[in-house]
Amino acid sequence: MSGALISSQGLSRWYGPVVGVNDLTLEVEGGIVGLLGPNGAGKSTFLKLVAGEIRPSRGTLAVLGFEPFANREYFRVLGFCPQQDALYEDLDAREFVSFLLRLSGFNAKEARARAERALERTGLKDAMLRRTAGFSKGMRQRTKLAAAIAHDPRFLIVDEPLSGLDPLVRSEMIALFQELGREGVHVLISSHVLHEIESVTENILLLHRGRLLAQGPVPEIRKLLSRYPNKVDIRARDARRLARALLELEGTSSVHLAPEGGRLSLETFDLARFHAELPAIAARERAGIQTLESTDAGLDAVFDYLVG
Amino acid sequence: MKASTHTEIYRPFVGELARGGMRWRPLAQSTLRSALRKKLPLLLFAPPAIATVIFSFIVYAKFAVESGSNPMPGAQDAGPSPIGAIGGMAGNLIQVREMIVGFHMAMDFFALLIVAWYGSGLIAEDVRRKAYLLYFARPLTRIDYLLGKWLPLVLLGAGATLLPGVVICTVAAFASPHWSFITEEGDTIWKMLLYSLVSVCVQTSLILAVSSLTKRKTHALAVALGFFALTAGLGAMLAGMNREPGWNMLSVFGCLKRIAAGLFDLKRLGHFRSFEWSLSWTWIVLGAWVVLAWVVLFWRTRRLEVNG
Amino acid sequence: METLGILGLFARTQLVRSLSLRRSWLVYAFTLLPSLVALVIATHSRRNNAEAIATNLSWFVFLQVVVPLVTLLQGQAVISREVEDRTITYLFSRPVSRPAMFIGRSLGALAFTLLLLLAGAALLLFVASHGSGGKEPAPDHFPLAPILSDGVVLPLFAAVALGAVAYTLIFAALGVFTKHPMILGLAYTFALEGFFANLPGSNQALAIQYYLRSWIAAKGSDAWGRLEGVNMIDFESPGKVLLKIGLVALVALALGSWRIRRKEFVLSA
Repeated sequence: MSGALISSQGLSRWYGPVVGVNDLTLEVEGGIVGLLGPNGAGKSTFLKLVAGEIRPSRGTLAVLGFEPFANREYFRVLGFCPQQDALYEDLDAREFVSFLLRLSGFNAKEARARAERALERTGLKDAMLRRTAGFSKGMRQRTKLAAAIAHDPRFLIVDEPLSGLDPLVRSEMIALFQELGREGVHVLISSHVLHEIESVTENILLLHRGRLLAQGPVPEIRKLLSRYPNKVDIRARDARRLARALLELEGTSSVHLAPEGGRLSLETFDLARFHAELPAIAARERAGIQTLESTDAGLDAVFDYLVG
Repeated sequence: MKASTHTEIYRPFVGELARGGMRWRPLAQSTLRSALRKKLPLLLFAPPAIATVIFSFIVYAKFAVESGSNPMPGAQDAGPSPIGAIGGMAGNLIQVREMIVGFHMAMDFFALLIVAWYGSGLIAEDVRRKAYLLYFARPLTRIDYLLGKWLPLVLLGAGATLLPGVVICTVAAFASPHWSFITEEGDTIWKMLLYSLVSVCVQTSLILAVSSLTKRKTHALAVALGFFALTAGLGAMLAGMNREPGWNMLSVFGCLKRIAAGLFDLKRLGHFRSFEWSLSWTWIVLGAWVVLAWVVLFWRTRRLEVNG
Repeated sequence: METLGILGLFARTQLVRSLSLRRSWLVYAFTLLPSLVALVIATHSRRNNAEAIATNLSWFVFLQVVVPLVTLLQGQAVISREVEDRTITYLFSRPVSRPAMFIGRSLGALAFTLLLLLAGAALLLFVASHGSGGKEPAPDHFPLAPILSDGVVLPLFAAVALGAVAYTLIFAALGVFTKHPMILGLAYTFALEGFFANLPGSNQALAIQYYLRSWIAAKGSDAWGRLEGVNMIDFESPGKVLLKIGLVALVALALGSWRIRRKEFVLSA
């Protein structure tokens, strides 16, 4: 068994005629990993497989060296924050988290103490004694997360943790995930909100139509997409002069000048050469570069290239 | 941020918005469509369908023998035809009128199953999934909402009673010599229609009222069937204990049987027990159940409209 | 020890949460209904004495309708309510033995139905005992129902307890095996049981009601004998009733535990 966080070979799962995931072979090392994909990509199915809720129809899957399905030893080290909002409506937040901690093997006193600490960490200190029936979406999310981290898991799975949250709570959750990552907890975050995943991690798993489309750090994935020229936006005092010079650079496929002047967009198949030679060109042409931005190095663009 | 318009994308609406009209119609259509989407529950219609075929055949055979014709032409040399034998038996059996009454009394049970299955979740699931928020954010009145839920249920219940009755009466009309079924027993048709409508309307009103009282389809189903079972059991028990048959009025099916007895004049028919309690009171009791059901429906729907 | 602890935790939690009126108002209502009817009859009827009211309501309403309905509502909810509420995910992502979870919750549900139904039966007898039909009350035999004999009270309590055990655990197991335990439970209760229990011969043994009737027929006083359906031939002996109900309970628990170990509950988004 490899030392990878998640390791699968030919992993497939279908529901009758509908394929959830199809022949996934991957190895994911630890840290914070974003699980991305459009709707229907198989993210939820993959998460359920990794969380041990369902069994593979075919293939193998190992998480932290365990076969996940109904594996009690695995569940001791797993924290799972599901997508659905359902909580035990007749319990308050502390009772809810304490109950789940009791199931994890803690005694009543320890469970209560841990529940309080976890709820405090997720920002529910003042509301922990309120019944969850009256909780807002954000409070429910925080309660679920508290339940998932209260027993100090080694591996945390969060399914769409940021959907429906206001910007303030979102930034708090993102900060929490980053903190957990620094503490050594492996985190798998499923989302289709790309910029939020980008703010947490650059390691992604991209699924599409049940298959693995890409995995790894986003810049590395971008480099692999060699058929798409890299796009760069430059603001310069003398954009026209700079554009003339850059056209002659090997690897450049196109240069567009903005009508209002002062800005150009360049496409090149050799980004490394471009970055290496740009300073000299800029100095020679006295172009007066003000800003320089790679517009398609981010996750949005990578996603578009791969899925679109 | 620069302002922009996109008039080239949208075309302006031309025409008039519909005012008033049957706003319940789209709701009723979608309710029916959703109900019929699942194929397995359609098996509930199988017993009424099979019984309709059998009864129609017996009715046809009876009239065929009465008219002296062989209902199976081409089988003259085969000795007494099986159909002739059945017709002969049928001719000695209870009259067509009695058969129709007996048929409806039996189909009442299946109509209850169908109405309970399709109707118990109609309002309960709307509440549970908070779909009523969508409905009442539209210009939909309570009556529109209730009609949109109730009428499809009536239609489904009629599939087990009214429609088979119409089929059997049609067969009887066409098979009877010289249209004797219409000329001599034509009142059976409108009485059958009336009884079926009353039966279906009562059952659907009660089931829908029960559905409005709970948030779960399963609970509504249990309460609905429990209500009919309890009232039937209590009615029979109290009638036996107190030796007063009027206690049977507690039971909805008891009331329906009394109404059938009154409509079709069953006292004179030797195969049925005599019904010794007041027909007027039976109508009043049944009417009271229906009124109570609709009061509950209006009250519960008002809560949905206002409180959310 | 850990498994026993988990079992106890689930049983306790299930019992405590079931006691909540908000959660279980429906079963409370069903259980109270026969007592309300008894109250009406006892105060208005001169024809029926306490035993007639108690036996009729117990036989026709409590045992045949209330016990199956209450146990169905509680039993099928052991697992299927969690699935319906989409909270099963939390339980199945914890390091707990699934069979222990199922057994613990089933026992918790059973404890609740036993408490509730026995209390309901006691209340029914208490209320019925005020119906005298114009006659003098009989000597005191039982604290709760001074004019009802032990031949009425104790057989009823035993039959209710047996019914609660059998039905609750059967319906709990049903909740593991099928997505629609309520529908199947209702079909069994109102269609199949009635059908089998009224058939002559060994088919009756397929209905739990048959064993409850057997107990009443064997242990009950003559007061029960006037009821329709009590004086039938071929009832089981009390010993066999106990044995078979016990067997049914164990088999239901075993089957439910076996099935839940490998069951996937796929919740839609």
